[in-house]
Amino acid sequence: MLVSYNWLKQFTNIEHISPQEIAEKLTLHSVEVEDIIELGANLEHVVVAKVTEVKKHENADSLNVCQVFDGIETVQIVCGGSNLTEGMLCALGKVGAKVRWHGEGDLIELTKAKIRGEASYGMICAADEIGLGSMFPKADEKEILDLTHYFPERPAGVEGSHGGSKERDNSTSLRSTQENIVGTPLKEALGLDDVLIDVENKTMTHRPDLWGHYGMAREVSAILGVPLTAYNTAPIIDEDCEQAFTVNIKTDHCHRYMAVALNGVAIAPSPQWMQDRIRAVGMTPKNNIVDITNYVMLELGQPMHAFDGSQIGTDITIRQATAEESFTALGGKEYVLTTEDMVITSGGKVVALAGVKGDEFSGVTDSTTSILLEAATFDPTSVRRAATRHGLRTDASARFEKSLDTNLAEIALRRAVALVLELCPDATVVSTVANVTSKPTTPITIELDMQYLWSRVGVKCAISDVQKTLESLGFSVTANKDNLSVVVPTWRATKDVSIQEDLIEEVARMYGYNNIPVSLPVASIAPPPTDDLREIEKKLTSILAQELGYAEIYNYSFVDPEYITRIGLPLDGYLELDNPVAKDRPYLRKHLFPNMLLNVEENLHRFDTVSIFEIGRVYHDSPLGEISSDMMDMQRTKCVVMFASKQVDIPYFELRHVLDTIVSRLGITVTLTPVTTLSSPWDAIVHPGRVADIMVGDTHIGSISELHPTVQKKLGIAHRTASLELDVAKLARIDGSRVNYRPIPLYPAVDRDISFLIDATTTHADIVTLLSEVDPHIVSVTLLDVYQGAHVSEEKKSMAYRIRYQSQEKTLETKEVHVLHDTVTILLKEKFNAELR
Amino acid sequence: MKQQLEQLLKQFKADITSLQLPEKLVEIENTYFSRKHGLLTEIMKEMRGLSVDVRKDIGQFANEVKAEMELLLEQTKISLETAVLREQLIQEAIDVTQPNLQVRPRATGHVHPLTQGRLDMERIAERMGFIIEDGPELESDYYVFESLNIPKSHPARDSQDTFYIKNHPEWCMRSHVSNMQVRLMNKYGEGGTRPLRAAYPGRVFRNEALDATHEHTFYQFEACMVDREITIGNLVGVIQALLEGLFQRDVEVRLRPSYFPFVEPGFELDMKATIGGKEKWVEMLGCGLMHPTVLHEGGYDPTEWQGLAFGMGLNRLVMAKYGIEDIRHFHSGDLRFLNQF
Repeated sequence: MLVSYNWLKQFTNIEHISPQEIAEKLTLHSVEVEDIIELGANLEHVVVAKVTEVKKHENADSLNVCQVFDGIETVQIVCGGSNLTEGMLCALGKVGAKVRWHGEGDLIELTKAKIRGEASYGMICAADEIGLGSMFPKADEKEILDLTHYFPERPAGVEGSHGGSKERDNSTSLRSTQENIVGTPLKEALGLDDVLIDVENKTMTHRPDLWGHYGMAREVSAILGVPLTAYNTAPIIDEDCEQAFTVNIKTDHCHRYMAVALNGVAIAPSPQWMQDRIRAVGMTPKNNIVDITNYVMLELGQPMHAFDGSQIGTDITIRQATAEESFTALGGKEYVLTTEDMVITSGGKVVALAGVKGDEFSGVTDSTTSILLEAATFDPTSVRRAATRHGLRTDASARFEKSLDTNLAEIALRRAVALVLELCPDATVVSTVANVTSKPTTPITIELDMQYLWSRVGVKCAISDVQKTLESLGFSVTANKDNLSVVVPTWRATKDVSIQEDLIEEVARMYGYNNIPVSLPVASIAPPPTDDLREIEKKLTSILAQELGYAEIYNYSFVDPEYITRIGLPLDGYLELDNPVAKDRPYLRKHLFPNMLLNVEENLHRFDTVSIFEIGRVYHDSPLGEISSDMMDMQRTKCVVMFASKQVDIPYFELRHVLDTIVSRLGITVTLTPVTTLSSPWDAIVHPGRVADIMVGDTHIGSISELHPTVQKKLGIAHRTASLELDVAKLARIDGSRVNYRPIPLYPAVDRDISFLIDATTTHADIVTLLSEVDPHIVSVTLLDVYQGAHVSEEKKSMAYRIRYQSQEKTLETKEVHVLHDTVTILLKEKFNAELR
Repeated sequence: MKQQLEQLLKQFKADITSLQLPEKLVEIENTYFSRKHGLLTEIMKEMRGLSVDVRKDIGQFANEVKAEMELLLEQTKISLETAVLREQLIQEAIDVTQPNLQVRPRATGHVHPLTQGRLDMERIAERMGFIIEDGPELESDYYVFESLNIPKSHPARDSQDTFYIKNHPEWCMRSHVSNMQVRLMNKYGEGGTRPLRAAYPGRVFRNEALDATHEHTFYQFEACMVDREITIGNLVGVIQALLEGLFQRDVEVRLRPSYFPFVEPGFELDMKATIGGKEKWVEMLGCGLMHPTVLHEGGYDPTEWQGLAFGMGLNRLVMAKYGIEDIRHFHSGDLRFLNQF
């Protein structure tokens, strides 16, 4: 929200305090200030000028060569403005002026230039190029600032002869005309002497009172300790009025509704001082009545609406819309309403979407002579949802959704009526003031325990100081011995301040958070318990990345059902987002590997080898029944490692090595069980001859497999791809990190190699199991080589092992080893029909 | 005989000083000292035929000559060996800047930059006695909102901010890691009788359209403390200690008022940083004293116990550290990005 320094000055004495200081104080005590905008800064050498001739540039379609009169001489300017016309008034940046190209980047000083062969002595500026973007919003990207209608054609009548509002002091009520303004420096011509403080809206969502200048002035006065001018409004005089409106509130979402009718209104532009204020804070002036409603909103934070009296009946009903009721908003766009929307109706017609926008037909027009002014309080949630639902976020809805004080409606209505009577001398109040309150905002009383305050803030501030601080913010305080009885003003009582802690915040922020001494808490030094899952994740990351050379990747938790189908997986058992951000990824991933296959595919276009891993969560649509019935039971942390390489035909073994390294580091023992029969759909996704389950005892903790070559090709993956999946939660539960220590052998070991032909179906695991049970003197069985191919018949393979014999008691004699090795040979023959080579 | 010995010594000296090749040293040694035909050995043998008197005299001289020759031989040996070794070492010198070409090394692995950032924070928090724990990403709206004093009407609960699950209106993808506050209080508070100190970094989700600075999936680091005496000054003290651990220097911080429903009062904390040679306040994190409602939900009596909490986005921190220009790189799975970390 843009806050005008001049407007603040109207309510509090800050003459001696710079906008910069106010901005800093606000940031430290109340709300975040994003920027300070000095209106008219860097406007030297920018003057109001008249375009006297516009000709097409011969060498550039989008450019014109213009002759521009700057009050002294006529200069040539090359300009690409889309709204250039002969006779218009423009802002001419002369040589030496500083502009920001297209409103971005640093200031650039204009010099004499030649543009496509034509000389140009400056620039016809767009509003954002000279820092006036917020005052004069552009309708079109290439639009230049058109000042023609900003100045009257003839000298204006004398304004400001009645009333004596302080805001008039800064106005330039006797404004120059279109004729004599040419050549005037722009800053002077526009009366730009204000500084805007841009407050980050997000930091004041809980402060409805700050959404108007008076509330902001109250805050500033409390922070700076300067007096605040009382906001006095006189009651609306309606005693003699016969006309009356019946107001029916037929919904829970309207807390107060006030309205009053005025006749004798003459629609005209509002006075310059009002236009300047409205424009300075980024709104566009329309006419006196609309400007008054906006002006009051900007001053008090209470949105208002003016209806054309001739379009409104004598009854007003506030109700929920019926299903599919239609509504044409001001501007002509049609909306289909729902029963969640709240509308204002009169004479059976919907005249406004409550709190959001008026309709197309009942608004003020140039021919309006009577008006109905409305000030109401609507339920914040209802208004916010309606605005969101219809994509209609307005200045009004933004304020209503902050929870407004019902008392504000009355103050605003009084202020607006006073302004109408002031600006339209012939106007009169013709109806009694309609006033229905169904849910008034009432003051809250909170007992503030000083002891508690001190313990939370950590500073023993004096009770009298606390009282003074709270009173400066509008709270009424009665001091007792150890506590304060605090009445919260209604403008803070709608949701912001309701408990003792809220008052502590008020005191502490005014005291200054940065004046509170910093200290470390007194706390227990017991070492914290460790989270096994996190520990194992950390170990896996370190082993995979640091030891095995894999790259960790992160994928989204969401997957594309089309890709799942392409892989060949069914779509059942997936949780689905109700409101996915990307229409193509609405499912919650049940496996890590699908998104990773995409990573492999994409990266293989650039790398010969892709070795990646991801540790992340997968989600199920029902509890797995493994932990508790909590949400955690619906999700598992998995680790998937993937490998594919141009140089590797059997990536499976690479991942076997990865697994061996992991389990040895974790100190656990696993067995790999070949999966001989794959169930559907896995039989089509996994290579049937290259898949194994990883078991720790009877617990299945994961698997290694290769992607089915058909799927691999279908997904456009260049090389054979293997995948290792581990259930991290299960790993975490295994009591690992045990080292099977054996004393250093005292006696030498004897290695004997053996090689044989064997049925191709016999597994390494079969052989190791057999041999490790032969004799305790066999301490290790190491596979040296496997060969299949030429010179070996198809159903056979050649294997070579190194067997290590060793005793803990003595040196084995050659003869003993010989006997043992013979036993091995015989067993291999008997059990597996091995032929010694 | 004495002359013979003198002659021999002279000859030996001449031989050994003219020595060029180290291999020849053995030859010289053999020529003079060989047990069978060594020149010195021969003279020594001859001495046996002399009379006792002469032998005593000449014997002493012979021993002196022998000792001198042996010493000379040994010295020459050492100096020659040293020269050889020096030569060898010179020849063995390698280009120390060259990578290993002989054994093909494994590729260097890479830990995701966000994991690195998270672990940096975790390490410091752990040293400060915080439990590190992760929780559900798919979460009930009780823990994400209700338990944190965020009522049904709050804008954060609208579906344009939070991902909800179809057919399970009470479930959502957590929009912050604050879902862990009440979970951890319940888990470790033992019915509101024990203090708590925990950090819980993790993945969070917001329904936002993607661009270079906006992600729907990002990472937060949050920590909380519950104890009997906690003040605003303590909050700053704890955060400052953590930031000093993270940045390995003294840091200057300040609090600004802010609003989060689950703390009261709530703050933004800024840290002073030098950017482009200029000192600036940089927004680091949101924080506050725990709202009594949250303490109550966690099983604590808010009149007896107090809490603090602070949380920050990890993505932004990591992006600032490395100058990463586009937040979407984190989930791109692109090795050209990941291999740099």
